[in-house]
Amino acid sequence: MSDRTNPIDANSTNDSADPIADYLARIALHLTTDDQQREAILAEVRCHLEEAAAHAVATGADPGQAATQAVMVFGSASTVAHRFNAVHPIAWSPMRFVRGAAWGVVVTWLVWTLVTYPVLAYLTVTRGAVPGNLPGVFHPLWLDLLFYASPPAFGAIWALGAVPALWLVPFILLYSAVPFVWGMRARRWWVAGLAFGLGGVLAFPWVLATIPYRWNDGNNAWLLVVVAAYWLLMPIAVAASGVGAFAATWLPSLGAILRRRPTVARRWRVLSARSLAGAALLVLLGLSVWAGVSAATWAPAAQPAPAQQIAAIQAHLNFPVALPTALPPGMRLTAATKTMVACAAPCGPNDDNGIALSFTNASGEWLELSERLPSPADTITAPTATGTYQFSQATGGEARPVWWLGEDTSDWTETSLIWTGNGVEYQLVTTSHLTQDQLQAIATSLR
Amino acid sequence: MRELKKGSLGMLLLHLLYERPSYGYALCERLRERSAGTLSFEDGAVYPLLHTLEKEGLAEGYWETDDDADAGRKGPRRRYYRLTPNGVRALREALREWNQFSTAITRILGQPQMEGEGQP
Repeated sequence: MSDRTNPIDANSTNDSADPIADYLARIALHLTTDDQQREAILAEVRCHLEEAAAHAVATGADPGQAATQAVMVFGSASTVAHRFNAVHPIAWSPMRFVRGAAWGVVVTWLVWTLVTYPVLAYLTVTRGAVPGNLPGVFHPLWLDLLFYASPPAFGAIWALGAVPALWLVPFILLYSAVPFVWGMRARRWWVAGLAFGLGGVLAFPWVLATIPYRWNDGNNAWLLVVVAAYWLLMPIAVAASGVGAFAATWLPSLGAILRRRPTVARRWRVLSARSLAGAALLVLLGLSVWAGVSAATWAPAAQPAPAQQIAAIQAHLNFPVALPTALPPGMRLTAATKTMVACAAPCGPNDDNGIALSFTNASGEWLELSERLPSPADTITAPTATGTYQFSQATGGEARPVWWLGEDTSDWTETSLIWTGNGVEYQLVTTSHLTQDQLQAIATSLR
Repeated sequence: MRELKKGSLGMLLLHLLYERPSYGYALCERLRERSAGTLSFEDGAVYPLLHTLEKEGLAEGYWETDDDADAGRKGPRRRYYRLTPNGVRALREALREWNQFSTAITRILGQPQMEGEGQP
């Protein structure tokens, strides 16, 4: 007949020095009412428990046992707190609204990053290459990928184009979990959802700024679709809080039905929203750890040493590869690749007879030496007279997207020297500020 | 029985408060005494219900004053509840419904016994 369940929560201590204080602390932990209401509830409950204990002591009970018994009869701390929470739903004051929006920003960034990071790491490891547009802000790859996975970077957009968008499902579910819980406890659920959703939108402040920057920059309709997609975060949050409010209203009735079938009821308790969200977060954290470890230990496939590369290419060439013996200070050979002249079929016998040697220095300046046998498909004709050098300079610009706001443009000047020697055409190209004489000195040092 | 108790607790509290203003612990004790142990509630279920009655305007809560009976005792102040006019009306309505319900049940159970019932 008794409805009394075990009121001592799993983390309680029956041998606590003050069972009543311990119990009140556990109730306070679960209460979501405002501070004034919380104090009033705790004062009322304390009064009851102390009076019950005093009454038991007056009839001869041990004081410690009397306090424990009073707590036992009162019921589970979490259940009592949840009953009070249902009676006193949270009123969303303007200050709470602002705090809710701030939480929306934080949760959105956190979940977005946690969901995107493993995807980027997986793509990096399985494809054997870092994602395109990787900002390269940080030196360790795992940190770079983590930054790339955060909202301000392009990582998620890149991943959306690389793998099916199904991985966004956990983001939507985890993002919705918070407004769902808030909706269960709020006096006006839509205010709670609106606050969180506003935070979700504010988490991407640069999206709106994209419109004036990118307008008439291609497909305006697609631009508006992308911007509108971000604003969907707000109705999603409001809907989630509405579902939470609905669940708070109807789940107790559902629970009453389920209690008639104890097995199902137990299962229902295990699969509470909080348990599911916690499990999902644990999975994501696990995946993130895996992603961090994978990215930290990943390295691109090792390339053979330049000398080995040259030896391998030399086997396919009809001329001996010459190397410069006088290079600018700090410049060193980093790679050798076989070149092929773009030609219309049938191609000539010399069209794939070439090699490109790349030299770089610590500042990132580069120098490339191309050697090839003359081909009719060549677009640049080298001087045929030995000892004649053709010097030229070209300027240009390069633009690459930077975040959402526009493009980073950089100007460059490319210097080249073309000459012929022993029937082989040579071309030296560089973006470093080398004069014609310096380039010519490199050219004459070929051995 | 569980649902029956759950549904009737509000009515019982209204009735006890109709008799005289009281506080949570005393209400719990009176519930236990009057039901002679047949009805047992977690004490923690009574307080949220009292708060609900207060929010619905059926009861009015106030902290213990010097005018209250045991004001001279030691210990934290009690929170008393008294019935409002709306609470009296709600109690009257609840009792009317309860009487209708119990009368209907009694009528059904008052029919001739089931076949075989009461025979050795």
